[in-house]
Amino acid sequence: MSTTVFTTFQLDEQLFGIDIRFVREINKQLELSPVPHAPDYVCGLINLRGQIVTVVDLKRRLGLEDTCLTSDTHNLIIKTDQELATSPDRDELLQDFSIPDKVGFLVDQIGDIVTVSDDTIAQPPANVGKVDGQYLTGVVSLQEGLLTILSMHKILKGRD
Amino acid sequence: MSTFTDDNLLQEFVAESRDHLSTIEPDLLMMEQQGENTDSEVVNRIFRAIHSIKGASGFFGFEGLKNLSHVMENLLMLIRDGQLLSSPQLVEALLQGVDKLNALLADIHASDSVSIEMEVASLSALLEHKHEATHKEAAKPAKPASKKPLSGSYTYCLTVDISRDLREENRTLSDFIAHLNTVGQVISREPDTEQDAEAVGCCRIIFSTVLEPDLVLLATSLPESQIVSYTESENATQIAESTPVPRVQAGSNRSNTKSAARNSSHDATDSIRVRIDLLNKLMELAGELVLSRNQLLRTLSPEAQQISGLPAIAQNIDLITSDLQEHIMQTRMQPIGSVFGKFPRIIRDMAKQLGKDINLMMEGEDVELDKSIIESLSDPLTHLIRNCCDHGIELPEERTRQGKFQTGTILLRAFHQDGQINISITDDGRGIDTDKLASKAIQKGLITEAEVKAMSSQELTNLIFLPGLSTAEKVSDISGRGVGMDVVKTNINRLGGQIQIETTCGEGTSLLLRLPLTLAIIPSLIVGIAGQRFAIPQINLVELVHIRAEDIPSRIEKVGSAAVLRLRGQLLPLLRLADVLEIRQPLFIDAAKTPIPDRRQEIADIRPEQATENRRQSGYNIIVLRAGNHQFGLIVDELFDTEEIVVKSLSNFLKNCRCFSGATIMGDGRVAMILDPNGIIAHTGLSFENIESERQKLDMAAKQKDAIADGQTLLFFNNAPQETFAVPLTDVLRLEKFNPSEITRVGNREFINYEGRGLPLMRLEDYLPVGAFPDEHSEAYLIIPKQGNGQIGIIVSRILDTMDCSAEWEQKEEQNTGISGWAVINNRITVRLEFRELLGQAGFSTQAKRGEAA
Repeated sequence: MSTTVFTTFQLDEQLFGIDIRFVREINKQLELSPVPHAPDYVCGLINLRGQIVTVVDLKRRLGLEDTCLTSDTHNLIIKTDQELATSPDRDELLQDFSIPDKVGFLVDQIGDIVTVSDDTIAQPPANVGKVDGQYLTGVVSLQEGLLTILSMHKILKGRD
Repeated sequence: MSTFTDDNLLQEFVAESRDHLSTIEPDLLMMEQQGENTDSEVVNRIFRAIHSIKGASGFFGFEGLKNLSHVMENLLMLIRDGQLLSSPQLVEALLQGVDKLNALLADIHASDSVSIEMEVASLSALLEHKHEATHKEAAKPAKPASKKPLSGSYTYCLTVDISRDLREENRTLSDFIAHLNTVGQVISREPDTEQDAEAVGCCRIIFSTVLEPDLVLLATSLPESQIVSYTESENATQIAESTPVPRVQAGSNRSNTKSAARNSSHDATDSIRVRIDLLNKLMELAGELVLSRNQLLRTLSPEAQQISGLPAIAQNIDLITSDLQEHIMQTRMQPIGSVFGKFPRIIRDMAKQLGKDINLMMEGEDVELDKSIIESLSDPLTHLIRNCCDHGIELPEERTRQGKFQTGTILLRAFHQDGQINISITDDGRGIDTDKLASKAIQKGLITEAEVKAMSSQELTNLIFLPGLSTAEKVSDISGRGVGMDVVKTNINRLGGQIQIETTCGEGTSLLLRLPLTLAIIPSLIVGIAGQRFAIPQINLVELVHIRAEDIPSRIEKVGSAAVLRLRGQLLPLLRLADVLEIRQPLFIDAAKTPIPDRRQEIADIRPEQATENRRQSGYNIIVLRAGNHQFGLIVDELFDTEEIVVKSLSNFLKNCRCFSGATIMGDGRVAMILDPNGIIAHTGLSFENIESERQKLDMAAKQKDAIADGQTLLFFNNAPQETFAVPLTDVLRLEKFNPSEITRVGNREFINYEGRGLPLMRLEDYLPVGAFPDEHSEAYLIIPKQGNGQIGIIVSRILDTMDCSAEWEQKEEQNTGISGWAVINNRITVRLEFRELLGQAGFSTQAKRGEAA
């Protein structure tokens, strides 16, 4: 039985998850330098140990309200192509898109790491709350509630 | 196909072969120039290079490469041995061979499937000519022919001490060599003749044989130390040149000495090949180290004084880091000659194809640039050079007709200036016909006629950078597809560089490329608005201007809806960075350090007088930026230091932010965006046309002023001793000196006997509020104005001078007084007179003006 591990987090009290293999690190580095003329969901750039990371307000990206920075706000740093290149699952993860540069997602609160059996993942509905179904790859019922799985591809697609 | 799979070795082979080919090309061109008298050393160099390629490609099993280089080698051998003379066809065929070899190397694994028949055929055809040349051979002194090393053999370099190794054993050198030839083949020996060898006392022999090293020891009976083995027999001839050997003073041949020097400078032990990505990583780390150092120094500074020894250590780290960074940067530096080197060939080929005479001059080939810049520079430069040949330089007949030298010249020059690399390409061709350019642009619907009318000549020239424009009347395979200059400009801009063009129709065109030394680390000015900081690359920076609040009305004007700054007679369009980036800003910080929002809607707005405290601080910091041929001013709140910044590219999310060329991490660890002046112009749609037309008006006004001033040779004179007057010299018909006692009075009028008639006189003091002629003066001068038609003279006491003068005259308010204005000239207040008005006052008829027209 194949399983997938998800990093979960909360956006507006709702539980979301992304495949943990995409996640490089989670930190609270939020010293953002805003970028004028940037799309509204880009909230700025941070210096992550000498590398520049473009930080995306994930809620804004999904069509929700702007993220308010609180003590619980975290920055989810996504691996780049280069970092994924050594992963055995590279081809599975990056089927038809690429992550050429460092991106981070702002999330309201970090949740647990959950392992989900693949056959429990259901097709996503047309929308979950205010989040459009196009950004979702599936939903899973957990004890603590519904886990909505985000599509990395669709979230990053805004660049094109 | 290669059966050998060691990729590293293969890559090394390709890289080495490329190097060889790049040295061959200039040598072949030299051979073409020198024709039959080609320096044998040049031929040898080409031969050696081709030979190495042949050997190695045989080793790797690339048949195509091997066969082609083999034919080339045969041809070269004949030339070297004097059996074939160098000719243009021959060089042409060899050049084509070189091109094909390059092409084969470009895709080495597919090289065997590429046809080399054409090249081989043309080379072989030339080989046939050998027989025609052989009869000439007798007349020529036979050159010592080096033989090829046997394939699959070992090569040794034997150093023979004639007295010790031979004479003591009753052997002669010729015996020894004959002996060697029985067990292998002597490829070359130095000195060539036995006499020379005797004189030196030793001889060096390159020897190729199938014998293994221990057997050679036996065969030659030489001490082991005198036998050096070369595993790669291909290098044998090369080694023969590079290993120093004592030379005979008299018999030594100059070209050999030269070659030895040349080869030793290329000595393989001096350099190693390093992978670029490794260098990049080093470079990146050095960049990080610089940043960390900056952070460290910043954090340390308050406490550093307390701890003994720490400041010295910090300083040391500072110095070493700078040094390290500099040296790592140097590893990436390459002489620009590596790009320039291919142009002689390009020019030669194009000149031939186009039937033109073109001479290329190059300067500054040793100027060094970052490798990545050099690589990206190759295409744009090639394009520009091709343009010069194709569009710039005229056909020889046309040049002769225009009184130019038949041979056109292209000067390619690289030089350092202001910490940047400048590359100029100048030709003495026909220049750019801006009218043609403009009509083409209109015809293609790129701009409108009205727009063209408003353009300055510089802007018209810049039309050449418009996408989709080509001025060539017919599209050739060389140029004229209209995808040229705009691409060049984009590429240069992408490198953080600038391109400027100047042209005079009929006289030539000059292009100037300004490039940063390196892409990775660039000196930048840090500016701030609303607490955010931005970096501006120094290369874009022209100057900084501060306009005090009280000067705003006099320095900043509006042209159309745009604000402009008047700077030394120039008009600069102004932008507020806050407006450009749509940041609502507090413009300035008051004494209590509280930011006060700027309420000025327009740049030219000023604060009311009463708000003096704020007014004093609300001047403008203007950064004058250069973007191509344009300059504009950018208003920022704060100016910080200059910093060396490491450029990081922007994420795809931000690709629509045209105002930025990248981002960087500053000394304090924060991220700052790097401003791109070209992007700012594009984003704001800043138009230079209005400014340009305004500037033209200014120019016109200045010219008119000049025109007035030009006619202004003034005659200066006194009447009352302290008062200086001036009139335009053109208004004066004659000047006469006379004695005041000669004046005759008739009624209340005065006359003087002038050329036999009574000339009426007038005194200035009678008609103007000026001092009187000094009574006791013993001599006087007479000015006969043109306007008086010779019928009246004006008495003055002293003629001072005539002088060209462009002083600004204060105009007098009232008309027709006889005084047209006054000015301070040479520290004297000078009153300028208008004779026409003066004579009118004196009741002279104004029809006497006829003289003015003359």
